Amino acid sequence: MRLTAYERRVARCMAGAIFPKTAPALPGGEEVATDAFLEEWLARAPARMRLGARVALWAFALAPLLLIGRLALGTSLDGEVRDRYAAAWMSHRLYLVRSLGLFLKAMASFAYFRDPRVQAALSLPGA
Amino acid sequence: MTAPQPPTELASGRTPGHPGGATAVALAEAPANALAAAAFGAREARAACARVGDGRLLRDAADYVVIGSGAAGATAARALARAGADVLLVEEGPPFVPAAPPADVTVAQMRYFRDHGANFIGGRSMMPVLQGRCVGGSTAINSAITWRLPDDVYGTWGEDAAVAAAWPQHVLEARFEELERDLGVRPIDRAVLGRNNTLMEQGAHALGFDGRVIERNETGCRGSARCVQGCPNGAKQSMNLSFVPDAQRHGARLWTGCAVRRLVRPLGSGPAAARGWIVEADFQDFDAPAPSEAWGPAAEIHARRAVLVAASALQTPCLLRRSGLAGAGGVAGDYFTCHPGTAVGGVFDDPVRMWEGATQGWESAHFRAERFKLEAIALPPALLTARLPGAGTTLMHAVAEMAHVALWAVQIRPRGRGRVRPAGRGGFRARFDLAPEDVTTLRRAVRLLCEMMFAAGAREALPGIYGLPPRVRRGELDLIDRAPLDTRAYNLVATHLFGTARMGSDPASSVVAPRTLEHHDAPGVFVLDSSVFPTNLGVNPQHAIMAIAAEATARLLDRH
Repeated sequence: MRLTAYERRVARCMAGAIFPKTAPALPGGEEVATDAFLEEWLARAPARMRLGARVALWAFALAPLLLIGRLALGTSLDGEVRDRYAAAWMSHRLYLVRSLGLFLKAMASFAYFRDPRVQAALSLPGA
Repeated sequence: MTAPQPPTELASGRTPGHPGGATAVALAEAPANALAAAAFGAREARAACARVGDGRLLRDAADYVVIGSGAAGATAARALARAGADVLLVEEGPPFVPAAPPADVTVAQMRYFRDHGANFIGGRSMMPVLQGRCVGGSTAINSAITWRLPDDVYGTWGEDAAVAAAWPQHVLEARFEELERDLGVRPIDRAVLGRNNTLMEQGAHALGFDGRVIERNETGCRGSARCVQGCPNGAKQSMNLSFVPDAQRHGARLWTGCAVRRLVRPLGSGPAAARGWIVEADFQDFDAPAPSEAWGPAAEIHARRAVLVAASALQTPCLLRRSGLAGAGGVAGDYFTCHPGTAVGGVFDDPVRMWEGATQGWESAHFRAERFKLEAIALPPALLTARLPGAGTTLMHAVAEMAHVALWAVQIRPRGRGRVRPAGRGGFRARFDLAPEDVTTLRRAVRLLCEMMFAAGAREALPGIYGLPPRVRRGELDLIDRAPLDTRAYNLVATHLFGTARMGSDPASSVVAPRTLEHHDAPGVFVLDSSVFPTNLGVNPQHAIMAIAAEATARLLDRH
């Protein structure tokens, strides 16, 4: 499945929000090729999953107003606001939002932990 | 969809790729790797079709067609092949190449899990359900935990006198012994347990809970904690390494990438039972350059004597329904049950490094009477993250201490019930809701797991319940007692699936006959997987599935 240029940007921003850079030795999510991974991962995925992934990415892009009351796109957030936005997905009172947040977190995790730099920094198997 | 036709086998007799004739001599000595390579998949099917002039439809026949190569299907195929029967084992997924299981869990998911591991059971909450879709089925990706059928389950099953009469305990116990011998079932070597498991043992013993080092079918586990991706050392005796190759060595053919669409009666004269069944299927090439080029050709396999369905408790009822075999009571897919579970983390001062040691090495059935079982579980980092709290800097804090996290899980034996229905091309739609008392059980189990964490020396527990602080300290355990009794507050995963084509004496409320596991209304169609179980078990079911499949196959052979 080919993501649009904007969806690729959303994917990278989403990964950066979920795995922000907090230490010099550990890459942040934005440094990992989450967009390329998602295209590979979704290429042979069931239609329902491809749709779900796309919905989740667009939701991440469009939901700051609903989740943290900020009139902005998810791709334009930075710093503490972006961190608050990422956390809001996981702690929202609506189960559907939390579930979508968990799906975003899963997609970002799959890409993040297959990166050799992450594996090496955390001394994980595969490094 | 093609109309059912009388079978016309390939001019050359049986399809290429089977270990017949001279090839069989070589395969008798061949390791599982070579046998996996000998599987007959979409590319071979296309070539075979081209040779007989029809590029779109492959026709073949066998006395017995076994659908699914997991615990039940592989056991049945092996027993049939060893008895000299003509067997075709049909697997929807690709061969699992034991020489090169992927270290990366995402690669494993993409290749060997059904729908990339992204399926879920719906209902009040959504429970992910992971199923293997490869040669060996879920045995290739599970932890190989072995449990005989618990005594109280015999008692529950005995509520239907016909079930009790069909499955006396001594008959299954003999099958269990045989399987344990054949598969090398034994407790995990303590040298490879790893700290995630030994800490759980410490915590349980400190609180006076019984438990054991887990018994599994394996030979020489090295503690790589990679059962989920497929054992990198070939130690786990999953079906792709044990019974499937053994069936092949004894003449069974294996078709891979072959998704069965439906079962139909062949046209022709004579009694229906004598005509057998046509298994309609479609090949899928998992290495096709594009998904649009993956499907084809179609296949029609004439099962001359019997079709043995072992496609799992989610896929079996869907296949039956798509074949018009929902049963007199229309109950195929009803009575669905499973073992929902959740995991609790604990943060220790010293490293745990859960990726060093057995994936699941210690368990406690101490609370069986309360309908739950506790077990250690190591997850690859990409999956473990789902159980670490939050996102953003909160998550990064947890990631940085990931090596210090232990993870233990509860699986409950719920009273709730659900159902499964076919959806889309080969897909399913399933629903399951926990009963209110199940949620109370779940909450109590989470509290106990947290207590065990602290008893083992954890400084913090990660209960993973929405509405509670993500990290709980020893003095805060009472918070868990006030956690919401709402399934949506818990991160549930569904494991071990049962009941969707259950055995019973009453065709209005069951699908197969208790003794033979033959469909009440479709002579020659047998269901062998955990779909036939009248209840859930409260323990890992692989061993029971295999024992029942072995015994049912022996009975089938006696009859034929």
